[in-house]
Amino acid sequence: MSATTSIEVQPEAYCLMFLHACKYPARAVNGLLLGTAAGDSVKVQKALPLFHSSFALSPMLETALMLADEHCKSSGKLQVVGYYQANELCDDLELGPFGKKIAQKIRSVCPLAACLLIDGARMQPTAREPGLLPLDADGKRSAAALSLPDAAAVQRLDAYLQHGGQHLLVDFDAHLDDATKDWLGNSALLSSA
Amino acid sequence: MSDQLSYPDLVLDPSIRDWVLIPIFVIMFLMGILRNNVTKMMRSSEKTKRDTVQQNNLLMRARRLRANAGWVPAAAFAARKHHFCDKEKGLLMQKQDAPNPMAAMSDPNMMSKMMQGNMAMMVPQMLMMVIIPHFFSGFVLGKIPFPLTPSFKGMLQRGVNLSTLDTAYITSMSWYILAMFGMRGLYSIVLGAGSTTDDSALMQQQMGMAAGGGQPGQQPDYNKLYATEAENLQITEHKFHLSAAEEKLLRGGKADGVTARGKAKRA
Amino acid sequence: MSALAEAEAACAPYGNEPSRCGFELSRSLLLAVRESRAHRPDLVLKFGQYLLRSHAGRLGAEVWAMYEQVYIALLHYGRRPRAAGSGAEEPSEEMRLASEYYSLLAARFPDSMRVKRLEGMMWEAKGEYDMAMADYDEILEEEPNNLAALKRQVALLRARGKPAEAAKRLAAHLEVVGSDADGWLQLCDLYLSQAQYQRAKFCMEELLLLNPMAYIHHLRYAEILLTLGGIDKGGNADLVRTARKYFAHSLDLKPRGNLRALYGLLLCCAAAPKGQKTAAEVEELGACAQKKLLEEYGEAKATSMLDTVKAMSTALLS
Repeated sequence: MSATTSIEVQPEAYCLMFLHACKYPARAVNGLLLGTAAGDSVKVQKALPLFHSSFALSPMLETALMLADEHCKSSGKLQVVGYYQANELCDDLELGPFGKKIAQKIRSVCPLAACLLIDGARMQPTAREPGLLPLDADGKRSAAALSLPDAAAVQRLDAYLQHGGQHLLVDFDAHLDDATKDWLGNSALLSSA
Repeated sequence: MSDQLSYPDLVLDPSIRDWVLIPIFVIMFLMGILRNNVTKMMRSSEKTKRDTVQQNNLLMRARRLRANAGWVPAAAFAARKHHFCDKEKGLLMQKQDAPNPMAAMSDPNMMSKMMQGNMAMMVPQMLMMVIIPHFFSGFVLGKIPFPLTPSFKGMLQRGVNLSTLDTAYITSMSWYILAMFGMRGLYSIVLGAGSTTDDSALMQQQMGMAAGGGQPGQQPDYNKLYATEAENLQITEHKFHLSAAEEKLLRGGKADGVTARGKAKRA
Repeated sequence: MSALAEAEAACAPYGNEPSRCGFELSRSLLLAVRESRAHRPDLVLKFGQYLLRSHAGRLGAEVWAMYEQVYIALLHYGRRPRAAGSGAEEPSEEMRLASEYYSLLAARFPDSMRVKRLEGMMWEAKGEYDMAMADYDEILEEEPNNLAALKRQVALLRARGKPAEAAKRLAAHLEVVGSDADGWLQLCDLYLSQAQYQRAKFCMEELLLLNPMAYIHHLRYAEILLTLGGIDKGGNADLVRTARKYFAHSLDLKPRGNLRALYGLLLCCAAAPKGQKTAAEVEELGACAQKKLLEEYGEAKATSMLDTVKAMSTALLS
């Protein structure tokens, strides 16, 4: 099985991941990463925040995965290339049983899929230490090199947080409670913030 | 058969309204609030025993199971029934301590609790029953819109001994009783907004009241209660309320639109 | 709109600046947060501090509840993870203020268990979990039925990464007080986090028995059943069938805005084995769910979702 050797995270995806984690600081959050995969490298362009409630229940998760697939098909260029997760406890760096299942599912469709864990203890990231840990589908540390092509990504994240941007973010859980909230349109939200 | 002569309606002095109707209402309202605060102060020092709480909880769980059995699947109900009623390990089949009647009487806490509870209820009532006829007697307050038999006169017209007065006219005493029953709603609005939402206090109150089932002051016999509950549970049949849930949904759907089947038939 | 949303909307025209919103608006906003038990330490801090600094006198007896509320919000911001410092750190501004408020409360209510619980929370925020546990243990010795202390203990155990022990304590408590719906919900969540689906199912059944008219409980129960039954074809058909009934009933209780039930129904219908007697009904049910979903999205004017959902549900049901 080919292993990913490099993961590039675009600023938009980077910011969305952390904003999601900051919106629900006392809970575990997860989501999908969209982008392109070629050769043995993965370019993550967008993030789709999914849940902030229990990961153990599969129906809504299955729904979200299917909807994400459809969304990618209609947008044409992107595919699901990864999964991100932030744990409830800041010193917990395990993927957990549910995270593993989801990661494996994604890997079965896209073998190069990246699996990123937000490091809860490093919530003051810098460009050199972005606060994301790449993992394998079985939860072990991956040898892949994570990079942020745009060095200003961290500053942008800071700016969003200053303005309370995390409160505007809509994940799939919030969408299920209110159909008017658009979980697929978070990038538009960011550019207007 | 006596002819009921229709008397012309009595015209009441408007100052009766100002000086009697409203003051009685205000006094009762304030008395009620006072009573509420006093009971709150007295209640806060109570602590219910953990065992009683657990026993009551078990009974309530069993009762809830019986009441709402239809909302859980049959297997879940059967498992719980077994958990409660199994001959050897069922929770309701465990022997409980028999109540000791002497202990209740000699328990000073129980006695004082009884006294306090009674006092909080009775004293204001008695006070009012004395004050109202004393200060507000000798006149008629209002008229009840529907006709009543003369036998109500004694109750509704205290202090006004006119045999010819239409029973529909009431005096201050009856206004007091009417208002007392009507105040309940008002209290819940006024006091409900200001009352604490402390879970433990509510729960302790709940437990305290449940423990006082039977005669106040006497410990309830849990063996009997458990046995009754177990029997009731045994004979309960499980009827699953949700067995036709899908049809219900579809029928609701048919009412406002065309379903796939309908479309297929038409096509 | 909920009371909290209303209060927030009322403050928005003033730019959410407390000094411009004034005393009344700030007070009603904080009251709304308190009553709805929403987790908004940002709001509480901003408006609460303003009220306490500028209008403490006008609050009267409410000032103590305000101190408590702002104190708890301060603890949220002041906490530091244990790993970061080594004890000899300069306490943050928030923690200093929190200590100040705590001493005020302790001076006013010296023997209060409620204040003791606040002290426990301070220890938790400082990362001194053993001291916090000791505080809560003391409260429970004094008042065995003190719900607040017990819940903090369970939360503490969960925060220390001991969900199994947290579940045990909570279960023991629920054995005594079976009507605590919040407790059962927490226990269900704890069991789910440990993938103990059967026990979580039991908790949801208790919740259904407690409150059969709550659509959320039916929904969650259905989700657990479907997870247990397996969505892929070849799972436990009985569980899937029962899950279907609970999703349908949840829709009965809440027909509008219940997206989870609609999606759940779709999945159940898709998972039903084909070629059985009831296949026609299942098909009809699936079509009905799809129609209702599209209606919901149509009403919400969510154009991006409409096509996506249509494509996905058609693919699912075929």
